[in-house]
Amino acid sequence: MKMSCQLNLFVCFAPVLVFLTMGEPSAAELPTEVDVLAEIPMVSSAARLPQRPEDSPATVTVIDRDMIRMSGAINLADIFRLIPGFQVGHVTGNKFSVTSHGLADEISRRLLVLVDGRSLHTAFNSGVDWANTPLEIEDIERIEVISGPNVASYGANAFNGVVYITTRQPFQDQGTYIGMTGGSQDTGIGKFRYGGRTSNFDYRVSGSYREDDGFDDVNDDTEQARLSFRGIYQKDLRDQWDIQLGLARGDYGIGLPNDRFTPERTGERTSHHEYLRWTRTLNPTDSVYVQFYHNRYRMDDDFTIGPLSEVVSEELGVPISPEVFETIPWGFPPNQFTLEDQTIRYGLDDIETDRYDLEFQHVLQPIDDFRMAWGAGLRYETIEGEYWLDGEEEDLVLRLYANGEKRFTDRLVLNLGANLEDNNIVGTEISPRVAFNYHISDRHTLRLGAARAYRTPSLLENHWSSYFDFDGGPPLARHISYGLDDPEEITSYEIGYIAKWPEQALTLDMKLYRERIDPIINNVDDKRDLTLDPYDIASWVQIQNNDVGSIDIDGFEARLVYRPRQSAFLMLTYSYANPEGIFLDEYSVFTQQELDSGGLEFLTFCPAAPDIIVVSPEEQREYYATCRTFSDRAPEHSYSLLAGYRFASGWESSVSVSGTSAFNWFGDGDNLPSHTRVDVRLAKQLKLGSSTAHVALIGQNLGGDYLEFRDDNVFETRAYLQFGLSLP
Amino acid sequence: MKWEIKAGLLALLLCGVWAVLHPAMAAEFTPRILLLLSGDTEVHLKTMRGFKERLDEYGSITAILDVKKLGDAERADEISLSNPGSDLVLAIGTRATRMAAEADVGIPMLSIVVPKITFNGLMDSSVSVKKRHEAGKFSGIVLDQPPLRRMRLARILLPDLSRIGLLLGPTSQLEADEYVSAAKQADVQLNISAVGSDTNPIPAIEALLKGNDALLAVYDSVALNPSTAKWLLYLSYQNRIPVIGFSRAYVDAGALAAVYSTPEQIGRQAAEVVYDFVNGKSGSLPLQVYPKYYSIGLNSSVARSIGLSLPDEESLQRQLKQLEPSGPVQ
Repeated sequence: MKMSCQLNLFVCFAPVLVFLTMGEPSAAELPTEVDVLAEIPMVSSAARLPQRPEDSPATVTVIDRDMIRMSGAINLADIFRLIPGFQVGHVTGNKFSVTSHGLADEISRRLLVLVDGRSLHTAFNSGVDWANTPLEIEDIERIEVISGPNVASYGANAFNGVVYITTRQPFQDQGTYIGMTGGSQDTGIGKFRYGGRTSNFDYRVSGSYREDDGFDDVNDDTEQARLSFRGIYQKDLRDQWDIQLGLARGDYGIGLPNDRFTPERTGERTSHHEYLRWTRTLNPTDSVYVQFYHNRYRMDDDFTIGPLSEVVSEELGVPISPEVFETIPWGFPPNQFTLEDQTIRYGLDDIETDRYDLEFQHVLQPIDDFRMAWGAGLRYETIEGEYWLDGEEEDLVLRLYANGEKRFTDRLVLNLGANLEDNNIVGTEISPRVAFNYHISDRHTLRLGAARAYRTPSLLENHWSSYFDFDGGPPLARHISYGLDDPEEITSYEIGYIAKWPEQALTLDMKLYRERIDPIINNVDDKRDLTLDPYDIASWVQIQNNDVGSIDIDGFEARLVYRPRQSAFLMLTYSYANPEGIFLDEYSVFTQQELDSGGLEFLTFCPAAPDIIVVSPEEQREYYATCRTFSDRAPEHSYSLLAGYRFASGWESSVSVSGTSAFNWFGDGDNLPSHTRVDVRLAKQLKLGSSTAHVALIGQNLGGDYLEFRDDNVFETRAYLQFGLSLP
Repeated sequence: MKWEIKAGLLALLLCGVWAVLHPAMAAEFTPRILLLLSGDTEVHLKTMRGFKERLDEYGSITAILDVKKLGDAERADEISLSNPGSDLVLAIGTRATRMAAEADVGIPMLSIVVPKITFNGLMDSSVSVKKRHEAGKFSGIVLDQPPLRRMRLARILLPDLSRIGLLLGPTSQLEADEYVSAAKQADVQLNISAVGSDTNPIPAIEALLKGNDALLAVYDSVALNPSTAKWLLYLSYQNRIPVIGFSRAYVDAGALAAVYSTPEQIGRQAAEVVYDFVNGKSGSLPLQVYPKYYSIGLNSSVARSIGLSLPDEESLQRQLKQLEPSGPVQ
């Protein structure tokens, strides 16, 4: 028998020494069963501090791997249907919009999406390209969604919520994985992953190739390849380096049938990123990190419109020969001119953006009942696109933030945070947040929170300058921004309630909230400056405007989770929202008949804007500022259910239900009727020696067809077969 | 029919009648048991559930149960333990146990789901509590697993195991002796690293990770509390040194395995101790024991990352039981 303590005499006798120097531990230091059985805290993102949900300053919904798998999602964006208050739109088969409380078009601008602390946002409309992102669903460890403004922790885009995606540590997935998915819409997806290790360095390489046809009768097919890398170098026990690289590239069907201004074509999108984070652990509660990343996002698109004689013939419904076209007078007197028949170049999906971001953070617990995270960041961003902007635009953003958690008693926790951000577009803004969490008992917590936050318009929103250029004539404006001086501002109040019934394995999380966004940034159809096109052929001009109106949303969100065992899961969510307010939609021309008939449904004359504007004496046209209501821009009701059960035999079955009442997307989106979608998944896990395999059958939308984002996007029942093999 | 046979049949019949009447007879002396819960939390409620379920299996009239939950504000003197004339107090958790230890009202008390060092600390701090324990009037089923059981689990899971590391702090160092002797029994070399209340545990953990094949986690409010645990587990992942945890939470957070007793399992055992006690099979409570029923939690992704193939829980339970033929360890 080996003798104990032969390795290191010092460490062996150390307890005795400690014992002698410390004296008898007092009764108060001895642990209780609650201490011993405590959960190991999970990192939560709301205040950048590891917190229990009942201590967090905002509602945090965690989607873990089990839930992602059970949801049967093929597209990452679909997972967010399970988050109370969130809406997901398939803009096409290869573009997705994810938003909280509606108010979104093709691109959701008010939600911040982070992957391991790296923002997925591009200066192109502050949006996320959910399809062309080098991120595999299988590599995600968990997704934390914080609803409500969280600018205090994360900066400007965290206006209406934060989606924090944590990917798996490479050492969690050692070995080789091969996955295949095939099914509806001619979908074929192949995936691979390899996790390896050399001394102190763990790494993972993941890649995928995907093809699908998207919606029927929509030009939205996908042909995409992705490659990503994550390596963690644990230099010693204190220092860790996290390296991430990613590349996604694809050809995507875009455009609309029979539309000369956005014809059906193929566009190319490329994203890549480089990321490095150094973390030093100072002690169990304190740590610092420095993080740097670069994102590049590029879209290539180039098409022609013309010859103009044909365009005008079709638009006016009269055959016009090239010779006749060249005699047509354009513009208004006295500045009239004629145009040569010509073909013009254009490229809607053609832009290039870069983001360089440096961030420092320090988490510390100076005293027992106070913890904080503070940090600073510097971001440099550029955008370039000949059809969108007048040359290259850039911005330099500096941010400072601090969030603290103070425990006054076991019952009362205060979270206080603020973010200061300075940029070249709107100057300096401070976004504060305060929340009191009161633990009525071990099981019931009440939270009162208030936050004010600002969203700086993106470089494109601020510098938009898009024209049709003609030979021998002035350019025709399509979309312009005269520069936005003010950010969007949101003020939010919430009352939250968290309850746990451990013996029933139930948790309930509810909140009542009131949000006011004032002013709100949106584009306005404005034809007042239209001096080129008196025939209304291509005469829409959108002006980016930073004071189109204001919106008040009152709402309620609730989530009930029942998890009696590791193998059984049920989650129900419900959300109610009541948006109120009007926004300036367009400056329009109406015929006297239209005005007399009063048949202008959906339009109201804006109370704040002048009713009639006469543009020029020559033109003699009267423009009316017309407003629309926000009330249908977020669904009144939305709900979801996710239930799953894993049998000991290796079978697993789950069902996911989600739905919203009718609501209206902005942009190219339509006013969609209510829908409910039911997805199911049946899977079997097999052990093949030292390998494991799984086969899954996924059915999406088992009920009748419903519409996604636009009237053309008919989501029929879809079925997929999935196969995965993990080799050691 | 011969006389012997008739007598034999009669004896058999009487035995049968006695067997049928016995529970009813017991009912005439139905004991009153006060369940004193330290709080309204999951662990206490589940313990109570396990206790009641096992008692129900004995029959519906085994005991009259009174339940008292200690609220946050209540103090020991606000709850009278002798009222309403209980025959036994079952103290669930540390607060209830502390109160039961302080109130020497002559009623037998059984304390359950309390960490062993805390239970022992109570005995060490009071001569009368110690005397009551020795007299079979105050006893407990502790929350912890016997160190030997934990070492054996490590040995079964890691066939090449020869050196095992243990991080101790100001409170857990009280358990050092028992771990040292368990290591001898299990034929493992034990390396202990200790930290004081003002020491940074990093160097201690560093030493352990370098010279051991596995780490045993033992709760300590300074050295290994939930926030240091997360961090220890992470470093052990990185160094490919498996951790044997002491709770389900450890396994979920990244320990390779843990042997632990659920609150229900301890409640179940308590019901058996209480049943034997009130039915007079033992006139006094047994000395403090370790849990008899236990579960084993395994983390397959951790196992994969260190290239280990895990047996299933059932066969692990079987192997452990074979090594522990004599029932619960004291």
